[in-house]
This record gives sequence, structure tokens and C-alpha cells, in this order.
Amino acid sequence: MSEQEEYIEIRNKLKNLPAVKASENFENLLKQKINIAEAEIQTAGEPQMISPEKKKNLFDKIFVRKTNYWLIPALGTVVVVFIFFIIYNPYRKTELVPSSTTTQRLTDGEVKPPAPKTETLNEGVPPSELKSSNQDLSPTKPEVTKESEPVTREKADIERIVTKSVPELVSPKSETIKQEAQFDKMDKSGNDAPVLNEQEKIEMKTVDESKSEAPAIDQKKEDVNIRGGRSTENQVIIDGREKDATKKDKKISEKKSETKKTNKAVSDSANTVIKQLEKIRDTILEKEKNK
Amino acid sequence: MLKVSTQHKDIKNLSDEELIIEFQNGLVEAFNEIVCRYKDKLVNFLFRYTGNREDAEDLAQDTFVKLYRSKHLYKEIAKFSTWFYTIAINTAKTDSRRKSRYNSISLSEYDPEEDKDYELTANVISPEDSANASLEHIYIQKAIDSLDDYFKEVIILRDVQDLEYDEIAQITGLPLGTVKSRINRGREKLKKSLNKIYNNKKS
Repeated sequence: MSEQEEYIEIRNKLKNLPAVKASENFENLLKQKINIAEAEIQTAGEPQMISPEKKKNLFDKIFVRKTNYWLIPALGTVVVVFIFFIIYNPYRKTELVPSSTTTQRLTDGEVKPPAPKTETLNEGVPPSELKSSNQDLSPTKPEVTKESEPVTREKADIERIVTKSVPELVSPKSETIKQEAQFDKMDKSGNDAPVLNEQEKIEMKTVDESKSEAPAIDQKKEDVNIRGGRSTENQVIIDGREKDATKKDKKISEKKSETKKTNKAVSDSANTVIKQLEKIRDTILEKEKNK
Repeated sequence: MLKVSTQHKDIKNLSDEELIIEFQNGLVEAFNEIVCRYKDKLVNFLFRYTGNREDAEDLAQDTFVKLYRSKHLYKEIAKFSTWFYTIAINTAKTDSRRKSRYNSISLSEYDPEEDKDYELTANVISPEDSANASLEHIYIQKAIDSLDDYFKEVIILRDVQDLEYDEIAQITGLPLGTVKSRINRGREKLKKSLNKIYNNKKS
């Protein structure tokens, strides 16, 4: 009570304060403010009504429904797999590119581990039968060697061309010798034999020797025989090559086509020879039977 | 005309809670009636709180605009006056915080070369009200302005607006005991400030 009595005087003073009333324009001003507020609502669309829950994060935009949260681990694994393939595939390609053996396989279109081919093919095969196995595989070999042929054939062809060209350059009489040889062939065989050089004659001999072993002529064997017979002369060729490099380059391209033709001719001639020999053998056998 | 008059009478007979419900249902006249009933009380309360008539009217209009926009938020759990005064106090507090951020200086200090003394709008009763008010009222208003906000609001609601303690507790969101103690402490400080003002004037 004493406290209330102390403050009665102040309370009475506060109660006796004059009441301040609103001005006459209060309602008009209030209407203007209400109209402005309504206009803002119509244009903005009640921004106060937007609740913070409606603000969606990127995470919420992706997973609209709460039930789609199971996609999180699935997407994670997809991303990991995708990154793995991106990183692993280039790495794998870099491993495949440098080795030469793998290039052959790439050309075959086969994807194999980088293991040497001989190991896989010669497993369990005795060395004596390697030739037969190789012969058996000969039909397939041309498919392999065709694309590798340019690498090895070109060298052999170049050497042949050079061996042909060097004597020509050194001695212009070689052309006359060629022509004489051609005429000799034409007279002897009576066939439309193509022009053959000394190399081609040697090749014919080697073909006759090896005809029993290989009915189909292997280009590699020819190359080996040629190389074995011309080892000393190749040294001379190399020396000559250095001297006439520029001219030989032009002639090499021209004589590549000639060598191709000659090779074909050689093979054709060898085949004809073989056929003739077979005919002779057949006639002999028939005579023996008749006897 | 009779229909209008009956409607006019009906609206005037409705309580504050019924009026706001009618306004929620779309009856704009109910809002007008609420404005008529509360505009003077609200302006008086805000004047005593801010000490400035223009600010009081602006804040009162803002309070009514908020009421107009958020009419759907009222629920019949509390009294309409409690809810309405809560809006008014929050509006006044936000306005005082906004003004406190800006440092105010006198224009006479801004232009020291000039001899003019710019008279700012009185932070006390305007010249219109000064005829009705005595000097004592001015001193009391000064004493109220010197109080802190949390003392000022409870004293004005209790001693000026003559609201009950429980209603003040609902408006401020404070416990009943805190409201009572704060009112007593506010009265004590008001008494001391008034004594200082009287002593300063006498000296």
C-alpha cells in the first residue's frame, strides 16, 4: 500500500494528461496508404506471404519429392563410373600405342593383351612342325602381312630398285643387255614373258628350288634369298645411294610399279613352270601305267 | 436508407472481436468502425511513446495498414485490443530503432557561419496542443521521453491507457510479475526525472 501511495501522485498526473486526438485528415491519409498497399500487393503478389520453406535450393530442385532421395547413391556411383572411364580409357590407349606387336593387332581389329604373338601361337607346338603350322596359317598371314608388308616390302623393294638402278646408272649398256635377255626369252619360251633382269633370273632359280616345299610363293622367302645373295653388293649400293639420293627417290617411285609387275610376272612364270612339270610327271606316270 | 441505418447500427453494436471477424469475412465497414474506435487511443498512445505528433499519426496509420493486410492472422484466443496494441508497439519499436541508426545534428551547427537558429519540430506537444496543455504536462512528457523504452511502454499502457496488468503482460509478452515490477521501477524513475526537471526550471 505504501508503494502504491507513493506513486498515486504520479499516476494521477499521468491520467490527467490531455488526450491527443487524431487529425481530421487521418482517415483520408489512411485510405491513401491502404490503396498504395493494395497496389503493391497486386503487382508484387504479397511478398509477405512467401514462406522460407518455398525457397528451394539446388538440391531440392533436383529431388523434388522426398521419395527421390534414394537417387543420391545411384547418381554418385554413376559419376564415379563415368570419371573412371574417362580417366582409364585414355590411360589404356596410351599403353596400347607404343608397342609394335600391338599395332599389328590393332590393324587386325582384334583387341588382345600386349603379349608376343609367337607365344600364343606356338604353345605346345614342336619346332619341327612350326613350318607346317606356318604354312597352315599362310592363308591368314597375307591378311596380317599385307599391312605389315609395306614396312618390310618397301625396304626390299627399295633395295631391288637400287640394285637395278645402280648398274643402270653406272653402265648405260645395261639396258641393251636387258633387251637382249628379253629377246632370248622370247625365242626360247615363246611365251609373252615380261622383261626379267638378272635378279629376276636368280629369283626364278630360288623359286624352282623351293617349289616342292611351298606351292605358294612367300614374299618373305624371296626377300631373304635376295638379301643373302646380295650382301656384298648392298654395301656398294648404300654407297651409291648416298651419292645419288635425289635422283633415286624419283626413280624409286617409278620403279615400285615396275617391281610390282615383275613380282607378279615371276609368280606367274613360276606357276607356269610348275604346271608344266606337273604335266610332265603325269605323262610319265601314265606311260608307266600303260606299260 | 433504413437498411443502411440498420447496418450502421448493427456494426456499432458489435464488439471489437465481432468486427474483426466481420472484416475477415469481407465487410469493409467493419474495418472503418475499428478505425473510428481506435484511432484516437492509438494516436494518444503513440504520441506519449514517441513524443512527436506527426510521428504518432504516421505510426498509427501504419498500424492500421498492417491490420488491414494481416486481418487473417487474428484469432479469437486473445482480445482484439491486445492484438492491436501488440502491432502498434512493434511498429513503434521498429521505427525507433530505425531512427536511432541515424545521428541527428542541429542545423545551426551544420551552418556555423550563419546566425540563424533553425528550430526543429518540437519533440514535445505541438503548438496546437500547447493551448490545452499546461507546462506541467510538458514536463511530464519530457520525463516520459527520458525513460527507457521497456519502462515507457508499460507505464503508458498502465497509467495512460489504463489497461489491466494481464493485458499488458500479453501485449509485451512478459510475465505478470515482471510487468508489475517494471511498472513500479518506471514510476520511480519518472518521479526522479520530474523532480530534476522541476529543480532545473526553478534554478
